[in-house]
Amino acid sequence: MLVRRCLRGDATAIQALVERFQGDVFGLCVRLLRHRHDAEDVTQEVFLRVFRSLRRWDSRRPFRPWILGIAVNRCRTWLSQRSRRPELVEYLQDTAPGPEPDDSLELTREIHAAVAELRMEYRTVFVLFHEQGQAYEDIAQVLGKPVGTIKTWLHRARLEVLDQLKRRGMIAEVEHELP
Amino acid sequence: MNCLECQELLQRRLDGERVSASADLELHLASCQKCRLHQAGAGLLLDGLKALPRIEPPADFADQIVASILHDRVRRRLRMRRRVWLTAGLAAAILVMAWAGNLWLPNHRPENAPQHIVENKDTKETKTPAPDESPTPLGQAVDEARDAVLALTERVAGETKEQAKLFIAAAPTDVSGLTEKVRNMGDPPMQEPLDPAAQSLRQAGQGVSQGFQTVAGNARRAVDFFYNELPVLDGP
Repeated sequence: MLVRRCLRGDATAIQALVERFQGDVFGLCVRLLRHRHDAEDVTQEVFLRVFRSLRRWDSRRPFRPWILGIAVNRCRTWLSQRSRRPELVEYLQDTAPGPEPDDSLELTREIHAAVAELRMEYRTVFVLFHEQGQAYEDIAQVLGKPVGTIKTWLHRARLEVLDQLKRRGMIAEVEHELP
Repeated sequence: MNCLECQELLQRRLDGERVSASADLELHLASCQKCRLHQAGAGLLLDGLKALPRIEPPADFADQIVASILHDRVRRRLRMRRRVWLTAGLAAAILVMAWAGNLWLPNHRPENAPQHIVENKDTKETKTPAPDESPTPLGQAVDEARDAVLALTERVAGETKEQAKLFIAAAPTDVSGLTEKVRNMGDPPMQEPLDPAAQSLRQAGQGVSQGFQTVAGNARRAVDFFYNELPVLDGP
């Protein structure tokens, strides 16, 4: 098993494990921190912590929620530290993929902006569910909350995102015709 | 269908479930503008989420992370090794010091060192064991300790009593016979009444003396109590 090889200090196994999870961890960090450079630092820190505490991982539980839980906790700590420093807003510049905006890019950018406005718990649940494709049960494990709480948070997060999109004029009034 | 049920369906759709449009839903959407907006927004959100680009880390990010993990591992191992060596060295130093102290201390006691812990002619003499004597049993050692504490306390009490007598002797002598009577403090109580000044001095002297007697008594009881609590040791 990959984790066992990592514990023995096998550099190839460490590389494989990092490559397998770096995308998820980095994506989550970018979304939660809204700052690409900070996300790189935090991702590196997350993997350091993961390998330091690999022996404490319960092998009966899935690995992904465990590592994502560490990432969420690190992001929370980083955000609380950053709140004491001047805010660095690089999110839009960092995540804007291209210069010329078409409709879908405009929409994704608006969704990003709306998600960025959410409070931390809602944002985490939204990103884990819609971007990382995690199940409710796994998100509950990541955040250490009951599944019911996760469903409630996700429901509220979606309503807030829809409200934001409406306020930004992305949702137009459509006439509904009965079939 | 009401708004609550409509929103419930909307959430299930956003959860990824396939929700087929029912006639009830269509009827409600036709009549409720709020739910119609939500329905349109949900569709837009689903489209937008599908189009969300995956955030990719920098190209050599994994290599950087692995390098930092390996570096961290080496550093932690070195730190751990240093800590182990430090602990072992400290333990060895303590052992050597204990061993050296055990060897050195009894042999290097000065020969003319006082053998009596307490010198008081009125009390029992307490001797420290000679180095070549066989080890003292615990019971005997405690006995000696008790005697030493008692002797020390009684000695202090005696000295204080003497000082009090001297102090009273130095007091004004216009009271006839006071000095002589105070010197006999501790004897049966005086029958003759004294004047107020002499009485207060006498009371002060008695109070000091009694205070130390109480201390001596308490110390004796404490040592006795401790001695009684000791387990009985079998003789050699």
